[in-house]
Amino acid sequence: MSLNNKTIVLLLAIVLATGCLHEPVDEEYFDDLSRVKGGQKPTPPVDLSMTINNYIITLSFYTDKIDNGQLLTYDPDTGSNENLYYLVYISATDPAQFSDPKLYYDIKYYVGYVAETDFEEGVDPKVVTIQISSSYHGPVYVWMTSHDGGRESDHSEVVNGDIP
Amino acid sequence: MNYRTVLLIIFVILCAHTSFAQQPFTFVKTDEPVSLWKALAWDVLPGGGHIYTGHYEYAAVFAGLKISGVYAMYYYYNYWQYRGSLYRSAKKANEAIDPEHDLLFKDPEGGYKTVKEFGYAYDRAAHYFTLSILANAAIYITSWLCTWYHVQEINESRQPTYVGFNQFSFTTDENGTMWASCTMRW
Repeated sequence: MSLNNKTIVLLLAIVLATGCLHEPVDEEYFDDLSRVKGGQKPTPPVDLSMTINNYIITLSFYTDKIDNGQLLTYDPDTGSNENLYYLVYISATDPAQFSDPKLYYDIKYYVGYVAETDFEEGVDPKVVTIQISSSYHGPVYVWMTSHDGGRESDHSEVVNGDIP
Repeated sequence: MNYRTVLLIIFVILCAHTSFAQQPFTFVKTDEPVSLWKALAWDVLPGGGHIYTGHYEYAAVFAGLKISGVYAMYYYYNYWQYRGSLYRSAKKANEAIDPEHDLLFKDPEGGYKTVKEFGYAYDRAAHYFTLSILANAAIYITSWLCTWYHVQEINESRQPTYVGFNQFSFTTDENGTMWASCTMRW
């Protein structure tokens, strides 16, 4: 009889334990950056500039600039920029007029990316070109961000030009 | 053999047969009918109604289903609360850490999810819980229907019945003639 009681208690304990596998987490659970993909966010490329020639935008930017012995463009989790990707965004309207700052990172304005490893190590400025359709005439606004595979940086300064 | 002799033989056999089953003429129930409401009330417990009606194989099946059903409800309620807490925590953290980006948070069940995806998982968990409630309702309704059917079946065989008996007597008159009579009541 005592064995039966023990068995029942054991079964009940298993049932309760499996139910408690999904104990609610507290509100601060995800405040821990180790639970955020990418950890801390990287910093964006600097000194962005743009030239437009015959519907080709030439974008140059710096990622290996050092200030006080510290890279300006880097991933705080690794201390380097070797794992970074640089994302390019383009718009025909001034992003300063965006109703929501999230639109700076909206896929609608995303053009493409290059990786730090696509360039020769330590050489600045880095240059990318963007071909624009010849049917387009008007203003062009371009900005960049860095991405460490998990988190995206704040956007760089916005450069603009005009396609006649 | 004349017809009187034949009748006498039949009479004697009939009397001999019925004399062993002498009972008072009465109106009796062969057995008490089963209470439907009691059976349904017992059926709230796993297998209770079927044990009450004596259908033990049904009792075993429905007891298993009901216990599993209640456990599923308990499990999915906890799971729903759990996914809700993950969603609220991710939403709060995203707003606090970087409101301009959709951050990817590590899902304890594997992979990474944005706040929106945690919201979808929360909705799915709510659906699972709702389905478990519906499944329990379906199990209980089916069990009650089976119990109801079994009660009807049992009570059909327990309808009130009449029980009859035969009475016979011999008399002799002053001329030496013997008279035999039989009364059959039903």
